[in-house]
Amino acid sequence: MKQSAGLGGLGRFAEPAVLVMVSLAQGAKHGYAITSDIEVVSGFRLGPGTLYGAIARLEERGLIEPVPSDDRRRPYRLTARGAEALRGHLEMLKRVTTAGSRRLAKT
Amino acid sequence: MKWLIGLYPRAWRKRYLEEFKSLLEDSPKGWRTGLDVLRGAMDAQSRTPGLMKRLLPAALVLLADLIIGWLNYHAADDVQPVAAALIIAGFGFTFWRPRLAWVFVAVLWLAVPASSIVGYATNYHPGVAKPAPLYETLVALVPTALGAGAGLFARWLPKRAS
Repeated sequence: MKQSAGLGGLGRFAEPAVLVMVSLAQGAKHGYAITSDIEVVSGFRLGPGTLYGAIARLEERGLIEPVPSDDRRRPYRLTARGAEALRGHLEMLKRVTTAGSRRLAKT
Repeated sequence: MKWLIGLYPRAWRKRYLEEFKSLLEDSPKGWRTGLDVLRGAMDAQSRTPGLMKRLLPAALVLLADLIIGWLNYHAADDVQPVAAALIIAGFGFTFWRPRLAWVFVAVLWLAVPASSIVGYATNYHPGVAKPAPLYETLVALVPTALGAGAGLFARWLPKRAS
């Protein structure tokens, strides 16, 4: 399946990356706040290694960026490009969910 | 668990160390977190440019280990090829990377007890009535240390002259 623009090539980090972006769509957050928010939204708790694997990839692609801070816990925010990529990805997921639900209803 | 952060590449630590340490302090302590950090370190290492260059010394020393082990496994009474290989490899590796001298000495030397134990276990000892793994192991330290010492000396000599 073709990945939506900007989220291709994330491999096994695609899912954590989307969860991170969904969390940051609410506003800038640091690592611990992202983990806690993802746990509330999805029921999954991302480990520190997985979270920072996703953060590093997203930052490399310009989809998120750090917010200047004096705190040890550096916050991140979604960039305009990131918001666009997330919107495209969620649209694709919506189509998949709708098709899947419709097909399941017929069985 | 913080020691696992040392497994991440230097560039990665320079960028994320403080915030990652802070998150780690707030994360549940346990083997799941440890495993996740380890997987993250492996991932970060695999994505760092120049991985092959950094792995080259390890690959070469393992190749040298295999050659020394093979020579020692097939050695009869004459152990000169093994001693020569230990001297040459010890010299070469420590001359190349003097800071890792002790690692090279340990890894190269380990080829001898490992192959001796295999020979002893499989009862393969051509031309020798009674194998002596412990003796071989102790004796192997001499050419390994000699080669490594010569490598360090050759590295130090031009510096002293200048």
